[in-house]
This record gives sequence, C-alpha cells and structure tokens, in this order.
Amino acid sequence: MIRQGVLIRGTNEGITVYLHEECEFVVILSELRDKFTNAHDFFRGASISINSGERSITPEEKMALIDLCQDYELSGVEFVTRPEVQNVSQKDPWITEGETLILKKTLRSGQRVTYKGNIIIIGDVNPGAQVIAVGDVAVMGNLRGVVHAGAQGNTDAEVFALALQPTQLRIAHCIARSPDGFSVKKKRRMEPEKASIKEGIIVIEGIED
Amino acid sequence: MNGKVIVITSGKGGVGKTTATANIGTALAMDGNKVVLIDADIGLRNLDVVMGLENRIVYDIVDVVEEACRLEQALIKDKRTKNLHLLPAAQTRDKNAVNPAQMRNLANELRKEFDYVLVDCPAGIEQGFKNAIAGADDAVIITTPEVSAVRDADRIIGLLEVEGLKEPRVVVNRIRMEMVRRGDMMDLEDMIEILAIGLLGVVPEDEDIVVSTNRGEPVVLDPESRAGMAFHNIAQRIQGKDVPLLNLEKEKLMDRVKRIIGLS
Repeated sequence: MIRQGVLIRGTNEGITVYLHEECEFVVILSELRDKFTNAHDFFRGASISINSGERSITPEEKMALIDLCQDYELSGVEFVTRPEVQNVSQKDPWITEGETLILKKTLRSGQRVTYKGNIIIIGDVNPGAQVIAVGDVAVMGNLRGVVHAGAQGNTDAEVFALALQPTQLRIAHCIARSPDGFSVKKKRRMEPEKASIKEGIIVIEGIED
Repeated sequence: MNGKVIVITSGKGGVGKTTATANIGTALAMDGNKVVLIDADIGLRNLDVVMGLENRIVYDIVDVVEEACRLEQALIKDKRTKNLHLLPAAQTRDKNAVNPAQMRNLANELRKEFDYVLVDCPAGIEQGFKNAIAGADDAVIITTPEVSAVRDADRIIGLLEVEGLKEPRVVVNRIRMEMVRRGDMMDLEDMIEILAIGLLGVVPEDEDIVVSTNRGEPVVLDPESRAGMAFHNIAQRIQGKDVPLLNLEKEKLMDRVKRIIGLS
C-alpha cells in the first residue's frame, strides 16, 4: 500500500493540509497537485493552512508549496510548523479582540456590509440587508435583516442587538431563521439580546446585567 | 425662476406613483403654482391617460431629447387646471432612449420655467429609475401598507442616498383604517419605524380613485373625496406649509399620528 503523503481535512477553521513526516517532499508535492486537480474548482479562492507536523520543511519547499497554491488560485496559505497543541486561551472570555468596523447608519434593503473583523452598527439593519463579519456583530438598533457572525468558522462569535428580530441569523456554520408566519403583530417591548452557539445550535438569550 | 424638481418613486409597481403624480401636480397647480409633470416611464406611459390627455400627444420626451422638436412643443397644457403641463413619455421606445445626463438637462431647462417639476418614475431600479432621479432635488416615495411595498421603499431610500437624495419623504397610500385596527394591515408606526424617514402624507383607500383614474380626472378635483383631500394636504406640505394629517379615524389615531409627525 502506498503511504499517503498528504491528508486534507476540513475543519471549522477552514481547510488544513497535513504533510506526512517521512514521505519524500517530491511525492508530497505531486500528491497535492493531483488532489488540487481532481477537486476542480473546489479550492479556488480558498485559504488553507499547511500543517507539517514533526516534519521540518526548508524555505525552498515552502516556496514550492506556495507556488503550487498560487497555480490553483488559492487565496491564502498559512504554515503550521509545530504539532498543534490544545489551544488554551489565556484571555478572558468576555474580551473580544481584533479590528472592528463601526458603521453609523441604517442598513437598508439591498445594502450589504462585510468585514474581516467585528462589526458594530449604530442604527437599524432592515429586512433585505446583510451584515457579514469574521468576528462578532453588535447592532445598536433593530436587527431585522440577515446577519452572519464568525463567517470564517469562528463558533465563538456572537451577535448582539437591542432588538434581535433577524430574518436569518448565522454563526459560523450554524443557521437559524425567524419563525414563519404573519409578522404584522403587536410588538412586545424588545429587550437587548445576544445569539451564540451552545452545544452546536444557535441560542438566543437576554444580556444579563 | 428656480423651480424644484421632485421625483415620485416607489420601487414596487402598482402602489400609486402615477396617481400620486397626477394628483399632487394638479393640487400644486390649483394652489397657483406653475407645474409640469414628466412621465419618465418610457414605453409604458400612463400619466397622460390618468390626466385624460392621451389624445393631445404629438411630441414626447424622446422627441425632445433627440431634438426632433422644441421642448415647448412637447408640453401639453392640462385641459382643466391652469398652470399645469405634461411632458409625456414615448410609448414606442424603451428606457434606454434617454440617459441620465439628458434628463438632468431637461430638468434644468424646465426648472427655469416652472415652480414644480414632478417626475413620475417607473417601477424597478434599472435604467428608467436612474433616468428619473437624475435631475431631482427631492424625492417622494410612495408605499402601501404591505410588507413587500415597504421593503422596496427601503431599498429605494438606500439607492437615493447613494445618488445624494438624502431626505426623501414617504406617502403611505391606500391605507385602510379598519384593517389596521383589526391588526391585518401594517400601521403607520410600523412603517415609519422601518423606513426612518419623514412622513409626507397618508392617503386612505378610496373607490373614487379608481373611477377618477379611469375617467382621466385627478381625484383632487372632487372636493368630496377623502383621497383628494389627502393629496391636497400633501401638496400643501410640499409647499412648506404645516398641515395636520387627515383625520382618518377618531381621536386615538390622531394622537398617534401626531406623535409620528413629531418624531420625523
């Protein structure tokens, strides 16, 4: 049996390519090329991370892998050179870091905001509008449109709104939608709420104190 | 003279843009303003029919922009109301027969002669819409108390913002108070909350509109009509006068409506 030089796995964080520790680099490279070819357009525009495990890769080998990824129009490559350790976050769970976009306007139907960090909207998000963030989304107003937090697979992402009534709410790979039915009903007083993933499903709850 | 160019638009079709244009225009002219109505719905013209002027059309807007005639030749005088004119659309052409720059020039020509230039915008957000809003200083959005109409109005407000028309006002057309009361229809508060723009007027559903549209007589000419009254009030507000909303119901609604006006 031929040993596999590369193993491709999809995870919540994206696509990871694991390289075998002892296999010849040329074999790895040709195997990877075959996999990219066979997958047709699947990898185009995707961002992958290459995990070389115990294996050490030379700068030349690194370049060869990057060139290969460029040939197949991947959008980004990241190298993980040591075996993955359990990612223990030292940070407090209530601190969100990263770049944040603050938008001081109402998003109307047909308008769409995407951002690679967190998004704060000071205004409403109307039905037919879309908000897509890699991180968290907070709406200081009425959220009625479609929102996607953790758009690149971050299951810790959360959505906050003063009035949370989205048409559809997505966090990472989870999707929740508003209840079906006639929506011209008397509105109750809206409380600020947040949505997050708990045990694999999207849960909406009030924001305590 | 430096008149105001106002586009009347909605996104969704069938909410009453053309009826509103005819009636607001007629009401403005009845108040003594010089008014011209432009039908920008090239290929699907209706405004001439609603005004009862179809049989007077010789030249149209496409003839004007293609310089097949002078602008004055294409303007049709209204048969009832003084100071009211119509620039009809072409029926045999399509929206691409005119471009936004030509519309802008046309609007600028007309604003020299008239106090108000009302542009009846076609439904949709494509070329016809872009043409219609090109020369406008102000926009009036017509919507009905339906989720789909409000959604489209919201989309239009967003598109107008991009074009620099920052403060459009909304007319809620065809409202039926008894249905609102039963909770079967969106109420004003719901709509204004979503759209978050100023309310220019509320027009009740009125059978007279159907009759008058078919006859080619704007309903504002009928002093008895409730819808006609509502359009008169809208015309007053366009002229900058502070007119309370039509009493569509009893005290309770008025209080609510006042609050909405106060908000806007």
